[in-house]
Amino acid sequence: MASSIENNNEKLTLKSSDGEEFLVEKHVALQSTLLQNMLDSDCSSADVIPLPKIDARTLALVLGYCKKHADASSSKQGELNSFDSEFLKDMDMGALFNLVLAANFMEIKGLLDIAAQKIADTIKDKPHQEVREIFHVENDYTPEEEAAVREENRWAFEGFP
Amino acid sequence: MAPCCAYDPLHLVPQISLPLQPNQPLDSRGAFVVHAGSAVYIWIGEKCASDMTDCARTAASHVIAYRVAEGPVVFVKQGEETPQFWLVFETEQDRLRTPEIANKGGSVEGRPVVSLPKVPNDIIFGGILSRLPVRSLLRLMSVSKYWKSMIASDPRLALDQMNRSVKSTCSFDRRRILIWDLDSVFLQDKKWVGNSFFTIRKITCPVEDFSCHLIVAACDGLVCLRKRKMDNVILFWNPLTGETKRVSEPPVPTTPPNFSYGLGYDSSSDDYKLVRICAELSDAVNKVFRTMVRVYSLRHNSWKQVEDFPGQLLRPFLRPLLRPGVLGVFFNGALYWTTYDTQSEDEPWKVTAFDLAKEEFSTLEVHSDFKPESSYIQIRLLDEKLCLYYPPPHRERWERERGRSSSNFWLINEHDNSETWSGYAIDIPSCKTFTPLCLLKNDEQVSLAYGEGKIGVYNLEDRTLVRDLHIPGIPKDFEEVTFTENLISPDTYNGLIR
Repeated sequence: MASSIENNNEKLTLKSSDGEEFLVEKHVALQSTLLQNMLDSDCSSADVIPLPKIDARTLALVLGYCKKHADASSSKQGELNSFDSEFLKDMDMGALFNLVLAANFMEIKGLLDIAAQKIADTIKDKPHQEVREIFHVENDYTPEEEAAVREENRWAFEGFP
Repeated sequence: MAPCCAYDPLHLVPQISLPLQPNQPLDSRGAFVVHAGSAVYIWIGEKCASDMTDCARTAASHVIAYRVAEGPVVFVKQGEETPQFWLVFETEQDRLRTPEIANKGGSVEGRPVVSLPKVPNDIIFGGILSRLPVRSLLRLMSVSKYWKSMIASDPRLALDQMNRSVKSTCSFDRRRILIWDLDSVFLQDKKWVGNSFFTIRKITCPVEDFSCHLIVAACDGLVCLRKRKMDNVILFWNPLTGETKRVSEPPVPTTPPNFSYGLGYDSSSDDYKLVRICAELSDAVNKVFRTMVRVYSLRHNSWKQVEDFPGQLLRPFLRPLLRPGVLGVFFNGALYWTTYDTQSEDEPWKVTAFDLAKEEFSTLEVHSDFKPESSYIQIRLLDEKLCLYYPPPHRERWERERGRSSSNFWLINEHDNSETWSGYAIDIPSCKTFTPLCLLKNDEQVSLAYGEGKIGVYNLEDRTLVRDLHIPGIPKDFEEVTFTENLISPDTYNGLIR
C-alpha cells in the first residue's frame, strides 16, 4: 500500500521544444500512452522527458486536458463533454493543428479525436482550394484534369466557387 | 532514435536532433535512425553490434510504413558520411533556431496562413477526413491526385467514414431517406431546417429508363436495382459516388409473383450480402415450386443457395407498382421480413430473421403486447431502430380497446444483445394508413407520409398530428428506404477491414 501511495504522488518533468519544463503528476501523465509506455519500461529513469516536437503553449493545453480527464471520475461524462467542447472553442487552426500533432505523438486518443473532429467541422464547407492550402498539398492536376474531376461530382460543388 | 541499451537492442530512444557536426560525431557504439524529410538515414557507428544494425533497419522500415516518412533508406557508415547527410542536421538546427515560424500559424476565420504546421497523411486521412460527409469528400477529390485515389479507393477511410456516419449524433447529416416514384429517384438533401421541412434532390440514375426498373434492396449507401421484367441482372449502385456493378443472378423461368430481396452487411466476413427469396421451380415435371433462398456475396461475386424460406412472404398491400416485392430490412447483423403462416390460426404472422453470419433463419421473439390485428405488418429501419407497424384496424373496436394492447407502432432498440420494445398508437383521423419516414426529437415524434401525398409530424406521446410538412418537389406516391451515405465502391469492394 505504501508504495502505491508513493506512486500516486510521483511527479515527472516534461520539457517542451522551446525548453520550458512542466512538472506533472504521474496519474495525469498516464493519460498519454507514450508516457505510460516510457514509465512502464525501466529505461526512462531520466528526470526530464524531452518532447522535442511540442512547444510550451501546446504542451500546456495538452496537460490541461490530461489533468481534467485524469481527475474526473468516469461517472461525470457529461461534465467532461462540456469541458471538451469549451476547451476547443475559439481555438485557431494553428493551435488545433499543433494539438492534433501533440496528441498523436503523445498518443492521447480522446484529445486526438476531439481536435480532429474540430478540424473536420471547420473544413467541411471550405472550398477545396482552401483545404489544399491548409494541408500544404501540391496541386498536381492540370487545369483540364481538375475540371474533369470536378465534373464527375458536380452535385457536390453546388454553391462552391 | 537510437538503440541505446546493448542488452535490449529493440529499445528505441527518441532523441532531439542536437546540433551535430562532423567534429562532434554520434555515439560510435550505436546505430541511429535519422528521419530527414526526403530520406531516412541509418547511421552505423564504428563499434556498433550487428543486431543493433538489424534493429535499426526494422525501425527505419516502421518509420516509413507507419509514420508516413518518405523513403529511401540510406545506410551511412561512420567516417563515410556525405555532405548531404550532415546538411540534414544543419537545416534542422536552423529550423530550431526560428521556432516561431512553425508555431505562429493559423487563422481565426477565413484565409488560412501558409505557416500552419504540416500534418502527416495518416492523421489527415484516418483522423480528419474520415469525419467528413461524403459530399465534402467528393469535393476534396479535387485537391490532388493522391487525395482522389485515397478518397475513391482506400478501404480504411471508407470504413471509418461509414462507422462515424452511423454513430453521428446529428443523424440527418449522414442518414437520409432515399425516395423513388415510378420515374425518378430522390435523395433527402438537407437536414431539417428549423424543424419544419427537408428538401429532396433528384439524383442521376445509372439506368436510362428507371420506370422499367425496381429498387429491390438497400443497405448503408448501396442500392440494388433490377428490371421489372426479370432479366437476371442486378445492378449494385452507390447513388452518391455514382459507381455501379452489374451482377448476374440465378435465372428463374418467369418473373415470380412473390419475391423479396434484402441487402445487409455481415461483419464476421466483412461482406455485403444480397439475399433473394423467390419461388422457384424445384420439380419441373410436377410443377412444384419452392421458396428458395439464394445469397450473393459482393466480396466474392458469387451466389449460393441456403435453406428455404420458412413461411410465406407478406405482400405489400399498397402501391404494388412501386414496391411489388417487400424489401428485407437490415438491422443488427440480420435481415428481417414479416411473414404470414396460413397454417397457424393463433399467430399467423411472424417476424422472420436471417442471420447474415450464420446464414440461418430464425423467428424474432416479439413483445408480449405485440398483438397485431392486421396481417399487413410492415417493417422498416428508422434511424438505427427496427420499426414494426400496421395501419389502425377496425376503428370502433380499436377506440374501445385503446390503452390496452392497442399499439400499432413499435420501435425495437438493440442494447447489449437484448432488444427493448416500445409500443405506440398511431391513428390519424380519416386516413387508412401511413408510412413512417424518420424519428424526431429523441423519438418523441415521427415524421410520416399519410393520405394523399401528405407528410406530417406525429407526436407519439400525445397521439396527435402536430403539423404538416412542406417538401418541395416530393412525388405524390413514393417508396422510401433509410440510407446512410458512404464511399463504398460496389465494383471494387474487397472488404472494409484489412
